[in-house]
Amino acid sequence: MKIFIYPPNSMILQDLVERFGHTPLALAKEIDRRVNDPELDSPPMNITEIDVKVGLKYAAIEVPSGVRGRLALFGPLIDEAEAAIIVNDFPSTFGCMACARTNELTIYLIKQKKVPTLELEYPTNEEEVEDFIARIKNFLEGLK
Amino acid sequence: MIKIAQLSCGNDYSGIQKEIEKAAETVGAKIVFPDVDIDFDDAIEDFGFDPVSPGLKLMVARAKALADKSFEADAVFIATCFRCAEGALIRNELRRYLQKHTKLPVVMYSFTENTQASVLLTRMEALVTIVKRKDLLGRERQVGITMGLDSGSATTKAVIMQDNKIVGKYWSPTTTVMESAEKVVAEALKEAKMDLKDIESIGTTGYGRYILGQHYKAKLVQEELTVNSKGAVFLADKQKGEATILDIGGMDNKAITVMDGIPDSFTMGGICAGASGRFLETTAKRLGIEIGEFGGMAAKGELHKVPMNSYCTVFGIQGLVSALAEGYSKEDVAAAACRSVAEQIYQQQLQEIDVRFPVIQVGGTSLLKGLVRAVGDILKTEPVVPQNSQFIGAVGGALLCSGFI
Amino acid sequence: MKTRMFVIADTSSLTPQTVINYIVSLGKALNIKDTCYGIMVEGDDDIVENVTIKIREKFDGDIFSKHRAYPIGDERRCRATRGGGARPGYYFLIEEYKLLPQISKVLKEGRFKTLDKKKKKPVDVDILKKAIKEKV
Repeated sequence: MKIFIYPPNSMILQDLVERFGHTPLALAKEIDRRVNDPELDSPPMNITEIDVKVGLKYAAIEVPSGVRGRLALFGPLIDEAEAAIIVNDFPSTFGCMACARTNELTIYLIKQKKVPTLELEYPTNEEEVEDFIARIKNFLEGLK
Repeated sequence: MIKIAQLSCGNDYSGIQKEIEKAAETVGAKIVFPDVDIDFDDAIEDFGFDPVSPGLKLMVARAKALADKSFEADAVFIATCFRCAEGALIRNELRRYLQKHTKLPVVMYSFTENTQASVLLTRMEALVTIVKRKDLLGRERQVGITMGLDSGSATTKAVIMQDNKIVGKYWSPTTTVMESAEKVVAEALKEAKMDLKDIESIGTTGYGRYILGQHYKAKLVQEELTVNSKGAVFLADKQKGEATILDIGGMDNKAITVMDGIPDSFTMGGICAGASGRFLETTAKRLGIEIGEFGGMAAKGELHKVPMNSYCTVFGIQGLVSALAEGYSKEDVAAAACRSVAEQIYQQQLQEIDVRFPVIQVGGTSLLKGLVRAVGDILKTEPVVPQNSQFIGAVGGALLCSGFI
Repeated sequence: MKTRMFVIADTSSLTPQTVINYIVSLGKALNIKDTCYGIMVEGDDDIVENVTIKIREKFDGDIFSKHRAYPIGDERRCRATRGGGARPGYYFLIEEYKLLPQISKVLKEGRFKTLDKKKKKPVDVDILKKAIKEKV
């Protein structure tokens, strides 16, 4: 199944989803499509004014452009999602996840989809890491 | 190569990073990103404001790297998304933090996905000017005999200064750049009882500055953002500390925020006549009075008496005419027109900057008492209108170019 | 064309060179580059995905992988051409890197036990009342 992961640029989540036999809907897929398009030239991410307008599908015009631009990337992934894993309290989620407002809206949108969703806290010790992995494993295996 | 450190959030995702870099390149500068350590806790604690968005935390850490001099740059460009409250708070507080802890010039901008390099160009040019002409911009007194020429799109102004005093001045509507300039120069010289050869240094600004600079062999040819700022704080005697310079023009408006006379942010409007002096001109015509009388008449009226349903030059003025027919006095209608323009400036433009006090109101419209009162009413302050407030650009030019004597 | 990054857990004795040698031994048309955090592999989508499965089979919990959007050596994201300052995503990767040793250990030991977690609740008002009476 296609699993939306949050944060969508997390290596750990992408890796674990693949390890346990599913397809992560990782952000790189959306960015890849843009940055490797020779037709576009809006470095560094090749997000264009049109992309930001595509974001209007997910957020109103009064919402800052950075939020809409990000949603132009996350939106299609949310649309495709068959299940989701959300990890709260991720430390230092820079880059794609640098905007708190986008993050709040992304989690809201995925919850609105009513697909099977696993919510977790970011682990801080080995005991929690074991719990973290076990829950992800159980969740993903339960989807099969 | 001048290095401009970029502290920003949302730029990549608004698709405007290329525009920022293009604007910097055009003025011979390079955008750089301060290198910081992954552990931001110290930086956040030192700054004292912990934003939720990680992108803004990164901005704080980068600002600290500049304050600590662990990363070298010549100037700072701070930008966040337009309409982001958290971003606006951090943008303004970082500006204050950097102005307190460094001597680096700072310019801010809040962008949308439509932001083009051309819009950013004036800001980048101002940054480069501030870096290159740091000593010159520190000048607070005019010396010798100098002339400032401000070639604007609507009017051309000349000011002659001698020993920190204005001795000659003149303005005229701009027809062609050269013709208008020759006229105002001749009149200003006449008032000063001088010849052109007596002038020791000339400074030009405004959109015709290059042509005039060449013709008059000007020692200073500089963009209006820095020149107007210096002229305004000089005339208002507010050379130290913060201020907002508000110039409501006949065609466009400028609001510049300054620290010690050096600009750090500005906003320019020009898409709505309802937010310009043009609205007042049209109202004056409908009231059958000269624009010169209009300001005084508006000052006598009540600001909030006449209801207005539209701020548009077409529909709003129609409403004012109806108000006259309903028996409201000309004074109240004139006051309502001023309120309308002030309200529009507040709604359309001042949202983009952090208004700082005092507000120094300049330009031709600052002579309209009713408008100054309306601006004050909205901003809950009494705007400072310096003498010769319509000559800020020319005064700034005359003041700064005296540094070349 | 697809690019993948492979990151080796800090506690592992595995070296990027060992992984590179293994990939080379698979004899696939791939572009490989070692980096400060591990290896980047680039090639046709199917080949890259196939090699990823093989790498996971071989090195199990020692190595972790994600899809990277930018091709190897892309200047748009390079610190050197950006005028200093790591790209923001780098900081995130560093954060995750810190957790890899523990994840690696759990995966290798095959321990999958969940914790019985209870949500924190506000203190009962009676306890609070009692404490106030005693202390004030």
